[in-house]
Amino acid sequence: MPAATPPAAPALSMTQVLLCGALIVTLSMGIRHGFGLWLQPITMDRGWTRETFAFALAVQNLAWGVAGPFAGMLADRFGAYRVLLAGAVMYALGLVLMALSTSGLAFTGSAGVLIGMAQSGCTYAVIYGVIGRNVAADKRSWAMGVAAAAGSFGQFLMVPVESWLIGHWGWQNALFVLGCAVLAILPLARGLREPEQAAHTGVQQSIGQAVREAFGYRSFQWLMAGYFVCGFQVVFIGVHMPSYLKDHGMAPGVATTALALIGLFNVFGTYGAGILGQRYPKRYILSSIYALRSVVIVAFLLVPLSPTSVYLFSATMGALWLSTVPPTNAVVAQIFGVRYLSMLGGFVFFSHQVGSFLGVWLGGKLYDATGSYDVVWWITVGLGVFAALINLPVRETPIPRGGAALAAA
Amino acid sequence: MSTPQNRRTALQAARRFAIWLAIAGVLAAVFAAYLSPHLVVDLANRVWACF
Repeated sequence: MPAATPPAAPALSMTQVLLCGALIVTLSMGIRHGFGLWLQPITMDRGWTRETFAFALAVQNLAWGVAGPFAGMLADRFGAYRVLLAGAVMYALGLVLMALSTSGLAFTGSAGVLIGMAQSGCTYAVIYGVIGRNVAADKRSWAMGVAAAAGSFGQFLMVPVESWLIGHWGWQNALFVLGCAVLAILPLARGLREPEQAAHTGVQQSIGQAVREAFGYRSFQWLMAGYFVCGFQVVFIGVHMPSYLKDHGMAPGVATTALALIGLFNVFGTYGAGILGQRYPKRYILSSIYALRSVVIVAFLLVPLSPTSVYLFSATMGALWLSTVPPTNAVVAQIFGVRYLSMLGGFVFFSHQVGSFLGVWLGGKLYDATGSYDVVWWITVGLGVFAALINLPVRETPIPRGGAALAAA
Repeated sequence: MSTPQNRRTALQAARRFAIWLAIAGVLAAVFAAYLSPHLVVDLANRVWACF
């Protein structure tokens, strides 16, 4: 039976944790977000097919999800600092090797496996572990919202920056520059270095006990199911919407403005979700986000398509884009404590990535089979309703540990 | 009457306002970057070329 220990006082200041954590996720989330911009120059220069490029990025997303729980385990066991250092070095190496790869296999290894694993070491799950342990519970959701907003801002910022780099310095040099830029995580990670005891506060459990406890708890399963839907919806829309707009005769500039609006409103949405999480039950926030997504998608499908409807859809979906991240992780911390927050966050994120993979793959598959995106759009609506319902019974109170835990689960 | 407490509160409010103003400025600048003709054409070509 796991023994509880009183929570220790935070070892790092909140300002330091937020500043360093926010800058790290701005870089790590931002750099990868614009990888699509390399599709044309790399495939043309290397003489590869688009499948080669797309396959490497699909592998990257899966590697990110699969490595997430392990990176989280290492961060919980040995400290986020060490995992961030390893992640930053792997990220830089991956970007350099991505520029130098001359075969599809080498490209999949660098842009796919290496960068995917690197991301698991320097994105939300690892940073949220440090936030959870060093920010008071009454400010945790807000703090997670700040970090998520920083990641959203990174995504918003890096697309024009990377486009400029490719245009002015060439695609290879652009990757070298980003390889150097990502090394800025190394000094920033020092700001998240916790004393040995601080990283081991909370309940005294083994990793195996923590995993079994979480997977046996119904609320954790529901959160994972909800996050799966989040990944499915967001990546399906992100990847397939430009094609949908093209099919319906929209001008290319409409898709670009739509991307900008999603990026801009995503920053407000993630921050807002963090603030709301301080005031209202997070299960209701999550349920509302998924329900609203379904409503917005249905409205988008029923209203005649025009640039205005696309912009309205993009702005509202943008506000709901990554807004699930702060409440989902804050609920995990509330239920299970912060001792294994990075690892459990990694497991939840794995579910998100499986959903992402299916959203992209099924979007293409059903489009090929039916000649339109209609079926997938309605699947997306149905999944949103499912996620809205499944988040309602989530218990946000700390898990009853010991004999009572099994009964409550 | 201006007391040290009032001055501190006013300073804090001004600091908060300046931070939010800076954030709004950065977001507006990035959004404007998306709307520059060069980037619109460049991005549109790249996004469209994917399909």
